[in-house]
Amino acid sequence: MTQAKEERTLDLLVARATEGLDPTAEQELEVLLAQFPELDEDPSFDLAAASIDVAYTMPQQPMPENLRNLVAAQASDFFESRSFSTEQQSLAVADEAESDKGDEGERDRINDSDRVVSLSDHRATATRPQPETTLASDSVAPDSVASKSLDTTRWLGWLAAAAVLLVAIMTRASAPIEPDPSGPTSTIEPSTLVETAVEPTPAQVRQTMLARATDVIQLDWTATDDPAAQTGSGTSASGDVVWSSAAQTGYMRFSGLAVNDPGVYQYQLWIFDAEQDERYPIDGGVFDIANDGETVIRIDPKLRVVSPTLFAITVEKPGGVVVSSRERLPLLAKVS
Amino acid sequence: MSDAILPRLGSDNPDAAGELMDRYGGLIWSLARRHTRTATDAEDAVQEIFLALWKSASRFDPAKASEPTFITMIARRRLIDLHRHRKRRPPAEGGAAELDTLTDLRSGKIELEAEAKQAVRVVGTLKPKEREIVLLATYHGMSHSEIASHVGMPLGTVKTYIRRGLMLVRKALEKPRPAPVSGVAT
Repeated sequence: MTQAKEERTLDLLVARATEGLDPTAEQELEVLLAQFPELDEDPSFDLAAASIDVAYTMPQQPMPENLRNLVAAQASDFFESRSFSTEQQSLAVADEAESDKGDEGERDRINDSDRVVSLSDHRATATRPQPETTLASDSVAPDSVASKSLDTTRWLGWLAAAAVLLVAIMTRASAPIEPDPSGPTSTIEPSTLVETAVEPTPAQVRQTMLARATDVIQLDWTATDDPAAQTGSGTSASGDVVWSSAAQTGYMRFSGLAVNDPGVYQYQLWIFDAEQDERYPIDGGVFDIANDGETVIRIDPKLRVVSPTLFAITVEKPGGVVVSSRERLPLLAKVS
Repeated sequence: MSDAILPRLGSDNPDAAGELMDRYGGLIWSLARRHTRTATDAEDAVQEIFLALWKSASRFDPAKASEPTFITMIARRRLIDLHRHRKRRPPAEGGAAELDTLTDLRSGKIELEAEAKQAVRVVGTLKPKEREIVLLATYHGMSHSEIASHVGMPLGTVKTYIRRGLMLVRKALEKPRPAPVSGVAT
């Protein structure tokens, strides 16, 4: 290998292990590796990057239960189909029928994309026949299949269920929460309620959270001079942020924050945490303000928030940013 | 970590898939959450990662890597592929400084493998700027050009730092080659 080719190959292997390769670079690497097959299966850079990643990853966020149940069902499906595939091969060999198709090839014929189920596809998961799982460590009982459809509420399902129940109680169970209002509401399981009832609004869940969460903090927004926070009538944007570290979620309420065109700019929440380097606050999500009225937005932090010290709203390009320049900061809420 | 699960995966051992999720579900979910933009993307990614793991379990060789590192490698490949496919940048939260101590690492559910400790040790020997760049490229999942823009350094320098850091970790992780079979030598 010439020195230049070796250098280039190493560069591409490093890039593949960190940021991935575009199709052109992939082709280039393929050509280079074809000349040196001993490097083709060399995963050492990938392993080096993985060892750093795993060392610095603190798995404090458990996998959501509904996702776990879904993956468990897929595992059962996958290994059953592989078993079936192997049996078929054995039969084929015994009958001296078709030539060996190969277990790997058989499995690869299964369309991977068909296996991935979006938990946001509420109806699809609710109506799809669910295979029984044989995972002894955490069996999925038929009743729990309904939990796979707790999509929009995700792991906040219990909270949403509580909100629905609260709404039901407040309306003396006469509101059309159930498809059949005359039905015996006392026998309805909470999970069924979530699936069939009217979804609680973010404002309703926020209210429930305020009423029930024991560790909730509530902070008023402080408007800055940023134009997005100035209404033009001499008043400033206002509202509050409600946060529960135990639930790892919260809600932001806004009034008077400028309506944005998502194609031009979007708002992004940043959560500063006492446990985090302040250069890298936690991304709390990108959101829009669609009207002049009150808007409530759920907070969806990407990392576990341990001890929040400051919530900040920035104005960013569409889609948000990885690291904010913090040039525009219309609203702040500091934990005292 | 002893008692590897991947070699036991299969239709004749249905419990192993559950064990895999019990032991590594938090790790995989945390990786997916950090390397994707939304919870929905992370959920999709987790499903694809587990599928990739079931398919590639037979390729796991404990002589080459520990099980958590192998799983992380498979997960990273899927996440990088998904990211490139979707043409969206993953978020980069969490600081590097707070991760510099092993105290935090021990709080995880997974025992820190010897090779992960080696990686931490090597990364700890890098100059602060080099360490930051290596962590932005691996832990934070930023592209090289994004890192260059973020730290205000030339792209070539960033690439050099990343390559140097990974090569040092790679060297530290190198397994000793098996000794030659006796009696074969002259």
